[in-house]
Amino acid sequence: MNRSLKIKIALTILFLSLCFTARCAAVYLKQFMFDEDKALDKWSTMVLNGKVDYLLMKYGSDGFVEAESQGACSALYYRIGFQLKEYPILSWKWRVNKFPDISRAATDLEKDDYAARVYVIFPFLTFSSSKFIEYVWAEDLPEGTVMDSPSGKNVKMIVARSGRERLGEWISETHNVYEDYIKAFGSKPGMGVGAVAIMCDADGTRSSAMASFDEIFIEAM
Amino acid sequence: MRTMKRRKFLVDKKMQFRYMGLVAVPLVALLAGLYYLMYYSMFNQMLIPEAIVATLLPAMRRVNFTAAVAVPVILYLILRAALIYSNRIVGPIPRLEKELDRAISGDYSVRLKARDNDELNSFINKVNTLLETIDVGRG
Repeated sequence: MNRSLKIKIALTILFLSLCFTARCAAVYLKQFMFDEDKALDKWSTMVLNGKVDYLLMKYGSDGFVEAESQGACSALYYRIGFQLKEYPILSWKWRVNKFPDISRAATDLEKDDYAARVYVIFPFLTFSSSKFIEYVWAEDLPEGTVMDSPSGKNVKMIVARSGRERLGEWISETHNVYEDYIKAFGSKPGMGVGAVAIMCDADGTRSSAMASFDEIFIEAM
Repeated sequence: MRTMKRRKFLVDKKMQFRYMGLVAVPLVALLAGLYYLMYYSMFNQMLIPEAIVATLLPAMRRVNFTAAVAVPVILYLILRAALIYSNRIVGPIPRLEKELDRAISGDYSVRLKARDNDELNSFINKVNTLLETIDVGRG
């Protein structure tokens, strides 16, 4: 093998490996690691019915958000504007330590209690023209179920995780929100994302729930 | 100047409606804008759908109900005020034209009449002074 051929092969390998690396490297818009002490400073609280405790916990240097609801319902949200087509992937880790007692619910509205939810919010001119996607960890609904929230047809709930089998265990989720939006609403998103949120609630059932959230990433394909 | 009672508020429909529109349309737009601004800022502050449905929407329904009663009354008062104020400007014009026609035809004894609140009072006084000067000069 002559020298120029060797150089050509080496350059080709280098070029291909660079392409591969570039393709594999994820482009993150935002990474919420919750490792810093002030990690929740830019998150806002929305109290719906009593305040849920959202505490920044540390396990060594690794931080996470722990939410505990005692018959309460409040959310933490983070305002961030971006186009879903550019950053369609949302991933997070969550853990449920205690589910709300759904047996105590008498109506659909009372049943709307989930230990853990992750929201993607698409605010527009009015509430009814805005869109909302809620990824929930449900006890008794099959994974992948897409349904209307009791809050309205513009609020779609997607069951991202189901069952009690993995109670107390950290689980990673990755969703293509762009595709989920089309699946849920039947059309491409007409407006950008305005915020993401997390929530733990047990107010409808007047019971208690406990969940943890970590590593919420917004990234490009 | 003689005091006259205003009997007819709508003298020149086209012109007065234009004046009423100038007053009423920006006011209605301002009210609608404030209403939307109030709604949107609360909506944008809440963001979580369950919170919006539980608190903002019932509150807005109450606001809408109150507005459904109050807005027609407010609109009526605005239009009525616009009619009165537009009449103070537009109202005397047809009468002034008639009286000036008499002066043009040679009757300089004619004097233009205005009401106390008419916006054209100062102008009418000056025309009357002019007519009086001409009348006295003619002997």
